[in-house]
This record gives sequence, structure tokens and C-alpha cells, in this order.
Amino acid sequence: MLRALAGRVVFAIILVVVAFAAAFLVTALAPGELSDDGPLTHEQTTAERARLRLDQPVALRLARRLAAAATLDFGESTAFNRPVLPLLVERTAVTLTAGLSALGLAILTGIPLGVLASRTRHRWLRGGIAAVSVLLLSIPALVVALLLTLLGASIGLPSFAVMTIALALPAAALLERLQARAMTTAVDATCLRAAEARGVPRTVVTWRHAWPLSLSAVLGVGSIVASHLLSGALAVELITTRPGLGLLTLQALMGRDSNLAAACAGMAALLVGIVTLAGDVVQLSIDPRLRADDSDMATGGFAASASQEVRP
Amino acid sequence: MTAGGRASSARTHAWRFSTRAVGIALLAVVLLGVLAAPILSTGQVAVQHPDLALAPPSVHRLQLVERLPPTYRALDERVPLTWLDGVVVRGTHASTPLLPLGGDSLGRDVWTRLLHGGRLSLSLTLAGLAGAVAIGMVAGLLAGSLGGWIDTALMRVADLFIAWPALYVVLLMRAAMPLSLGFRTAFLLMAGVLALAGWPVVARAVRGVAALERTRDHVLAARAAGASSRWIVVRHLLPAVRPVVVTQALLLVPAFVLAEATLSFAGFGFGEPTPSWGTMLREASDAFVLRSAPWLLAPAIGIALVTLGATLASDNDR
Repeated sequence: MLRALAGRVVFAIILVVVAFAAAFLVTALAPGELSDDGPLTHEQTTAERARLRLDQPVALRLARRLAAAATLDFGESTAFNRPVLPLLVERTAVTLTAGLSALGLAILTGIPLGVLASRTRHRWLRGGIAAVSVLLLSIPALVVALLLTLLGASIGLPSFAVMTIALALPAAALLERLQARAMTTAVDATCLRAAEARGVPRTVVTWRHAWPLSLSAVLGVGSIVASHLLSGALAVELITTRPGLGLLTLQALMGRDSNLAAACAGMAALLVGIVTLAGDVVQLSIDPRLRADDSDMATGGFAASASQEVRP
Repeated sequence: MTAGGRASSARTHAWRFSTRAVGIALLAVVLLGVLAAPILSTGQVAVQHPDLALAPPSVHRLQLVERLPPTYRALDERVPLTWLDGVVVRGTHASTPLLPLGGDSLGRDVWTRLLHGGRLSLSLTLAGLAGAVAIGMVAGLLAGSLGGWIDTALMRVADLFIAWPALYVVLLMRAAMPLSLGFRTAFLLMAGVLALAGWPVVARAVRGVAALERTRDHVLAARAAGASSRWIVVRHLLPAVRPVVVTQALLLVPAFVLAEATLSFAGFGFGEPTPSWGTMLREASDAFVLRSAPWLLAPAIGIALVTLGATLASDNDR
């Protein structure tokens, strides 16, 4: 398992580097130049291009950028005329506060509801939770955000709340479905049937024994939830015009600001990587079987099984 | 399994079947409506009626009272209608159009734009889907049936794509292209972008099934009997991966519709006056406008219906 974890770290690092380089290349090679418009004379344009090293070959610029990024120097943003790093940190914080609140909200509602949907004896409750979840899963964050904006305009909902709720609803539904399915599988285990047969109370079986067993299936999709949240955040930021990472990425891409675009893409990949790793570490700490058994988690294979799971 | 267990699984089966049917029916209704757009529409997509900016849906003639916020008075006189004249129904005179879903900020017919916008959004989705399924199946079958380093390499590339937030991938690829494009070029490029973003999901699933199927006895028997690789792929692997491909394609539908909407919303989509669900939603992003004209959210309902339909239809028996 530790080896697999190391593999995950390597994969995450590769992901960040590839994202960084790809975004840099894409913006650098895209048609349209920074100095094409504006009131500058030809000499000024040439001087500016030389200062920004835009006259050098792209491969050389990429190599320089990567080397500089390794020392945490992300260069200067041409669209904002300020260093990339503080800008990036500032905007990422905006996305992270809403994103993490949404994640917390989704975990706090989705997980208990999933357990409830799986363990309740009332069929109507089970069916009701499942129906609401499927419905919420089907309404993308973009649409939820628009509806909330409409609502917010009349009752004065701040954009932070709009964003958090819009992101949390689909994520909670996703977690609820995963948890319900994992729970239903978990209580089928022989040990739990034995416990129930011996008269262990249903609540104890559910929370003390079955829930930890079911958690690994839920934690395994940390990366999926994280990338859903980031994609959703991008859409919601477009609507609420909250100046977060998504909007910054868009501005960088539209302004052909390759330093900034590269840093934004790298940051998005880094966030997904961190959430995935956090899920793995929690999984490792609660599930002793994983520490003993090393064959379970290959770096890549897991992503497939995870994406298979995301089905209501 | 006990008798009770069997009965409950039969019930689950029936429930599954019905949710699938509902999903397919939803998709069918939206598709039919969109296909019948030329007959169902009540006007032209680009014709503007400045006196009817943000006008509410009404069968009565409206008179503008106040421009900000848009306030209308319904006159005691119905809009003269012409039935079954090329289209099902439309306003008889060009100056008094029928607006079944109200007007947008330029006084254009939201209902007509919704139908034609859906046409564009959904055909783009289908085009992207065709590309994603084609690339994904070839890559998945190659990886699954050949194995070895081709398998590893293809799947690592797929993982890199999957691990990234999907909208970022689409946005980045779209940004590499010129910002304003002609309609045909924009359509082809966006379909290509969607296909490139979607293939890894299909490839992963196909590869999983193909790799498993390859080790099954009947395939081994076929190989022992001297069947060629092509025969095995066509006769044994392709039929086995078909259900997986259908499910994955259905799961990609919501993602693609949403990607189109987000790209167009961000200004990377089609230019005015061509309506698509994403470009139409741009108007709905202003809270003030939205409050006085909530019918501008119609495309969002369209997106939600398609998403719900595809999600329900992909709910297969596992």
C-alpha cells in the first residue's frame, strides 16, 4: 500500500507538470499576440516582445519557465502586470474557501443520508432519498447557480453562499449514492450477518462495524469529487463572477497570458492531487487490511474502478 | 438466496427498468422537440422586436409601460394567430409575434431560440460523442487486446486526461484556437475538443471489458482453433464491449451538454445571433434581468432535462 501511495504521489507530480507545460504551450502557441493591439509603436512592440522573451522559440521559453517554476518563480502575468504567485494564491484562496465549505457540507449531508438510505427499514424513505439524489446529480452546478442567483437577488444571498450551495448539492448527491451502494455491499459481509444474528443492535452494526467497512469505496473516489468540484467551481464563478481560480484561468487563457495560464492549470491539477492523496491517506489509516495487503491499489487501475462507481 | 431475496431483486429489476424507460422517454421527447424545431417554432431566431424586450409570455397583445424594469400592460385584445401555415402556430402579423416563452432582452422569441439552440447544442453533443466513442473504442480495444506497453502507455495517457477537471481540459483546448470563428469551423472544432476530452472515459471502460474478455475460455478456444486477431476482436470483443460503450456514452451526454453551455457562456462558443443553450444562458446571468424575466432560464431547464434523461437511461443492471 505504501508503494502504491508513492506511485500516486509520482502520478500527481507528473499530472501537475504535464498540466503546467500543456497550458503554457497552448497559450503560447495560440493565435493572437499580447502586443497586437494597443497604441504602441512598432519599436515599442518589438522592445516589449524582447523584454517578455516572446521572440524566443517556444521550446526554449517552456524549458526556462519549467526551470524557474521549480524554484517557485512563476514569472509575471502579462494580463495583470503583477507577479503570478501572489495573484494565484489570492484567487485560489477564494475558490478554496467556497470549495472546501462545499466539500464539508457535502460530506456532512451526503454520508449520513447515504447510510440512512441504505439502512432504513422504510421503503419510501430509501426511495425518496435516492430520487432526490438522482435529481440533484442531474442538475449541473451551472444551473443550480443560476437558479440560486435568481433566488439570491430577491432575498439577498451573498455570492459565497450561492457558490457553496451550488457546488455542495451535486457533490452531496454523489457522495450519498456512493455511500448507499457501499453500505449495502458492506452489510452483506458474513461478519456483519454474524454480528446481527448474535443480537448486536442495528445502530451499532451500522455505525461501528459496517460504516468503516464501506468507507474505502467512498474515499476511493476523492479525485472524482475533487475534479467535479473544480469543474463546478469554474462554471459557478463564471455566473457569480467571484474572482476565483476558474475565472482567473479563463482570463489568462483569453488574455493569452501563458505564465498565468500555466500556473493556474498546475494549481488545478495540484488541488485534485492533494484531495486524492488525502483520501488515500485517510483510507490507509482507517482500513488495516490495506496496510497488510499491497496488491490492491495499482496507480492507474483505481481511476477506472472509481469512474465506474460514479453512477447513481 | 432466500425466496424473499429473489422477490426483492425482481422488484429492483422492475424499478431499474422503469427508471430506464423514463430516462429514454425524456431524451426522446427533447430530441423530437428539437428535431421538429422548424415546425414547432413560432418565429425566427434572429428577428428582434424592440417593443417586446423581456416581454412575458402572453396570448394578449402587450403594451410597454416602463422600460426599466420592463413592465407591460396586457391589452384587451388577443394576438391574431395563424394556425398550420407551414408551422403549427405563429402570430399573423410580423409586428405582433406570438411569444410562448416570452422575449429576451432584444425581444426575440425565446421558445423558437430554445428549440433551435437545442438543435445546435445536441447535435454538437452527438458529434462529440461519435468522435469520443470512435477514438475511445479503438484505443480501448487496442489496449485491451494487445496488452503490454501499448496498454500501459494508452491507459496512462487516459488517466492523465481523466484526473484533470473536465471543464479545464475543454477550456484549455478551446483556448488554443482562434477566439472568433465561422459557424462551421466553430462547430467542427468544438466537436473535436469534446471528442478529445471524452475518449479516455470510453477507452478505460472498453479496455477493462476487453482485457477480461480476452482471457475467457471461449476466446481462448477460438484462438486455439486458429482464429485471427481481427476475428476475435470483431466476433468476441466488440459484442462484449457494446453495453459498456452505450452506458459510457450516455454518461458523457450530460458532461458534453454542460461543456458546450459553459464554453458558450464563457464566450468561447458560437457568435450571435446563432442560438445555443449556452449562448442563451448568458442573458440569464444578470440577476436584475433574470428577476424580471425568469423565462430566460428555459435553456437551463433543457440542460437539466437532457442530463436527467441520460442519467436515468444509463442506470443499468450491474
